Amino acid sequence: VIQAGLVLTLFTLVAAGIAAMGVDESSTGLWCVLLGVSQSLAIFLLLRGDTASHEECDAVSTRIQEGIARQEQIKR
Amino acid sequence: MADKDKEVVHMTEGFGVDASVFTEVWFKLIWGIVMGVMSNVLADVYLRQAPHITTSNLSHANNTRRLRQTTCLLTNVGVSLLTGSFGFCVVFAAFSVTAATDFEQRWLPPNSFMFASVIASIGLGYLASGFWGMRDVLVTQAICFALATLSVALFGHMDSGDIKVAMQFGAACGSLINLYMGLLSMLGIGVLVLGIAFFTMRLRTHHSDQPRASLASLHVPVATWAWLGLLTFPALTVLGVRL
Repeated sequence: VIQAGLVLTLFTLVAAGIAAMGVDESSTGLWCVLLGVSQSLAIFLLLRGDTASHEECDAVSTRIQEGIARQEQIKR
Repeated sequence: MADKDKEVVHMTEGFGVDASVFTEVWFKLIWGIVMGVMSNVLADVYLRQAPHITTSNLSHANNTRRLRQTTCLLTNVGVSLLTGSFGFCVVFAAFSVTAATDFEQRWLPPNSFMFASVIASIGLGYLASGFWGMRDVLVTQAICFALATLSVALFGHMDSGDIKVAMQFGAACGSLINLYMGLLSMLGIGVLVLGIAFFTMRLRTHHSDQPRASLASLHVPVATWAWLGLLTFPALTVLGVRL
């Protein structure tokens, strides 16, 4: 998910560069639309990836807590 | 008079210069006060949502809050009086909210505020300069977004929140020339602050056996830094300094 977001981010940069050099309103408009769509998708994918990593962190912290609880049981 | 007008146009290229009631000094003053108060109120609302507000050092926190409120109000009034652009005042006030929360609690406003302010900046660009104004704001915020995302992915030294700050900063700059000036202002401020920090640390640790604190360990409030860059370039342009 994050890799797809990064690829779209690169495309955003390219589209921004082409839109910045805009010659006429119609072609620049097309690149602006592509820029907006790719950036929105990139943000969506990166946010989704960010949320997934939070869930992964929660899962890891739960596993650590379980491990600590098990160690304490063994000590007793 | 003509040269002064050119400078103002150059400074607020992305959001244009209003020729209507916004040229009146009294209106600019009132508008600046309204923007300053609103950004302070919004910053207070978002800071209440911050999970890590501590009450251990309350006097220090109160001093920081007072400093933030005063600075926010004065700078918004100053920018309103100097720029002559309604759009730039609005996006500057929105960026002041982000900078204020970052300065006070290292906390950024929620995504809804950050993304909404970027979209509002694009809309204001359209209102000020039509299609090309909208294109300029869209391009500058996209360049900032892409560069910040790639630097987070490649180097990992920044936070994901910095991507949103970069987007908002790009949108507030409004055009590529303003972005260039804003980034140069940020660079200048960064060098100045690092120089002062290094000098202070050197003085502090000169006669002690303790190892010097690493500059890399300093937490950088990126939004406040970017806000200072955004504040500096209109001021420099009014003074006639071209970067």
